[in-house]
Amino acid sequence: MKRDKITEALSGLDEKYIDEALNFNQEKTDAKTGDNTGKHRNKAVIYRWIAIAAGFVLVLTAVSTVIAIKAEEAEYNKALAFFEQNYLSVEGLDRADIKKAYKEIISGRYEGEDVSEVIKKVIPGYEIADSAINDPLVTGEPDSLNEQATWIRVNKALGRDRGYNFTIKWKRKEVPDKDGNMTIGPLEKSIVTCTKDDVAIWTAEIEKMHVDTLYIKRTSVGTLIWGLYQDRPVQYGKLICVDDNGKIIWEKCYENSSDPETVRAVLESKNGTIAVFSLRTVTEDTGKEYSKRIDNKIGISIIDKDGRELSYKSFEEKGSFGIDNAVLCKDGFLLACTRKSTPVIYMLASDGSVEREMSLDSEDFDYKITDMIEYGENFILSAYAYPHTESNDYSRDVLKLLTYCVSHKQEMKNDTENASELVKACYGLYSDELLELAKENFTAVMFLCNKDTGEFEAFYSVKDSWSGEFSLSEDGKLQWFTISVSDIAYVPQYNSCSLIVFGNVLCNVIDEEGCLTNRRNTGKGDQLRR
Amino acid sequence: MEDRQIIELFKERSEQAISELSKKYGPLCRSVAFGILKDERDAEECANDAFLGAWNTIPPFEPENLQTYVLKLIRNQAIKRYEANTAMKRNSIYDVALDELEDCFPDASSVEDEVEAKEVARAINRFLETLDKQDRIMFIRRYWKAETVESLAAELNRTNHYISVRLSRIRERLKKYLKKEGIFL
Repeated sequence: MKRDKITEALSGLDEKYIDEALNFNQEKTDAKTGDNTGKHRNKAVIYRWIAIAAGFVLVLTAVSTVIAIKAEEAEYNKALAFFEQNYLSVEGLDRADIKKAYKEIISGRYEGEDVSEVIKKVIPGYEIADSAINDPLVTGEPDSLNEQATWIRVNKALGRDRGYNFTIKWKRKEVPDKDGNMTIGPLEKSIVTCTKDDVAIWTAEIEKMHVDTLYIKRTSVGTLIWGLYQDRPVQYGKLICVDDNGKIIWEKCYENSSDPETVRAVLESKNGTIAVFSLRTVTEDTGKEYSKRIDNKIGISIIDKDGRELSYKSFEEKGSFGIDNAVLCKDGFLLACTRKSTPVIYMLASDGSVEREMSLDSEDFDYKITDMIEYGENFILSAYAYPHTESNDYSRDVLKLLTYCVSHKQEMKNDTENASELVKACYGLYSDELLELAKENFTAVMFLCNKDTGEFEAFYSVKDSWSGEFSLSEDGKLQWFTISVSDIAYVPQYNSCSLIVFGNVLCNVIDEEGCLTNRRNTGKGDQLRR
Repeated sequence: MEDRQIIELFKERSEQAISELSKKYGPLCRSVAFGILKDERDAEECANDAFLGAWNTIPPFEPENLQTYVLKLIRNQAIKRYEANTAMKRNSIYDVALDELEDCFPDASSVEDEVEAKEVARAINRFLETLDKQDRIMFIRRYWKAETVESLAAELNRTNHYISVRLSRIRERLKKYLKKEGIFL
C-alpha cells in the first residue's frame, strides 16, 4: 500500500536530518541573527531552479517509464554478473529466481533451500575444508589432546543448560511523576520460568532484581540466579538459589558500605561448593553527578550448598575492564580479565587465592579473548589479534579502520557505488581498500595455555577472521567458531560514526589429536559493530 | 546526565537508565507521540513503551545518537497504535500530513514498477540534501514529527501562510525529484 510504504520510508530517514530538525530550537537565536540578504538570495536561487526544473517536466515525464524498466534491468544484470564472477550456473533459474538468490546471498537472509549450494560456493572468505584434513593450518602440534575432555562451559549461557531453557518477564511499578501523571517506575520483580522440552517446570519471582538469562546456571544445589538488587538508594549484588519447585531456598547478598559489589561469574566446584566471582568498582566522589572510577577489586567467595560463605578473598585489578570469563581448572579456577588492552588470566587456588598471573602480550598485536574452555590438562582460548594500539577505547580493535575511514571519506563516497546491498541497506560508505584493511586487521587465534609454565602457544590461526566461541560436537570433537570478514560499512552520522564489519561464521572442527578435520560454512552471518 | 552515561546505565542493567532517559527525553517523546495520536494518555503509554523498547535493545545495541534512537522508537510505537486505534477515523495531524505527502509519489503503472520502501527512503534522503536547512527542517518536522503548520510557524518565526506555501513548494519539488529518480509507488 502506498501509504504504508511512505510511512516505512519516513522511518528510514537519515538520522542527521532528524537530529538537525529536532535540535533546531537550540540554534534559533543564531538563526535570528543570520544574514537576511542570504534569505532573499536563497529565495531567488530557489525560484530560478524551480523555473529550470519546470522546463524539464515534459521531458522527464516522457522518460520516466523507461527509467523504471531500466532500474529492473540493472538489478538483473548485477545479479547475473555476480553469478558469473563466482562461477555459478543459472541453469534452471528464471529471472526472478536469479534476482532473489542474489538478494538472499548478499543480505545473508536465506529463505529457500535451493540457494544452499550457491551459498557454499560464493560466500567470500570460505575455504574448502577437504584439503585441510590431517593438515593443521599452522605448525605446532599440541602435546596431548587425546584425553577425555572435561567440558565446562564458561559463563556465556544463553538461557540454555542441558536441555533446560529460561524465559524472563519483568514487571515494573507505576509511579507518579512531578506533574502527578503515572509513569514507568522502578522494577518491581523479575519472573523467571524454567522449561524443559517446552514444558514449564517452575516459576520464581525475584523481587527488585533485574534478571537476565545470561546470569542463570543450573547446579547440583539448585538453580543459581545472580544480578544487582536495587531498592533506591540501596543497591548490591545478590546470588539466589532456587529449587526445582521454584522456591527460593537461600540468598547471598554482597552488601558493602561504600561501592556496590556485583556478581560476574558463578561456577560449581567438583567438591560441590560454589565459587562466586564478584567485582567491586572502587570510586571517588568527584562532587559531580557521577563518581570517578579508581579501580576494580575482584572478589572470590566460596559458599556451601546452603549459601553459607566458607571463605572470601579479594585482590585489586588495576585498570581492568572487569571479569570476562571464569572456568574450573583441576584444583582451582582460571579467571580471564582484560587489563586495558591486554587479556590477563589469573590462576586461582581452590580457596580463591591468586597463584599465578598470565598475560597475553605481544609487541605488534593486542588480543581480545572471546571464549575459554578447559580441555584435559590444558586450557584452550579463543581470541583474535588486532594491530597494537595505546588506546583504551572500546573501539580500539578497529582503530586502524576508523582512522582510514575518517581520512578517506570522500574517496569512499565515490566507491560506494560498488558497495553491496548489505552496505547500502545501512546507508554506509565502502571501499575495496577498506575491506582489504578489515581483513588484514583481524586474525583469529586459538591458544593453548600451559598450566604449568603459564605460557600461551599459538595453536591455530585463521587470517581475515575474528574469533567466536567453542562448543563440543556430538562425537566429542572441539568446534571452534571463527567469523570470516566478508564486508564492511562505515556509517558517518551527524556527530559520530559507526563501523559495521560483516562476516560469515565458519565452524572449525578439531579432533582429539589436534588435527583439523573439517571446516564448514555454517550459513550464518555475524557482525562486529563499533 | 550525558547520553553516554545513560547508555552505560543501560549496559549495567540499572533501572536508573529508564528514569534518566525519561527525565531527559520524556517531554520530547510525548510531544512526538501526541502529534500522531492526539491523545495524552496514548502518548504517555507510547513513551513508556519506547523506554521499555530501549531497555530491551540496549545492550547489545548501542545507539550513536540516543535522542534520535529513542524518538524513532516512539514514533514507530505511535504509528502502530494509531493504525490500531483509528482504522476508520482520519482526524490526526499525522494523517493530514501523510495525505499531503502521498500526492508527491507518482503511481506505478504495474506491480513490477513499484519500488521498496528502503529505496524510497534513500531517494528522500538524497532529496533532503538538495534543500536548504530551513526547508529541510520544515519537511522533517511536518512529515516525520507530524507537527502542525501553526507550531512550525511559531518555531520559525513565520506566518502560517508562509509555512503552508513553503511546504507546498517543497512537495512540488519532491514530486518532480521522485519522477526523475523513477520512484513509483
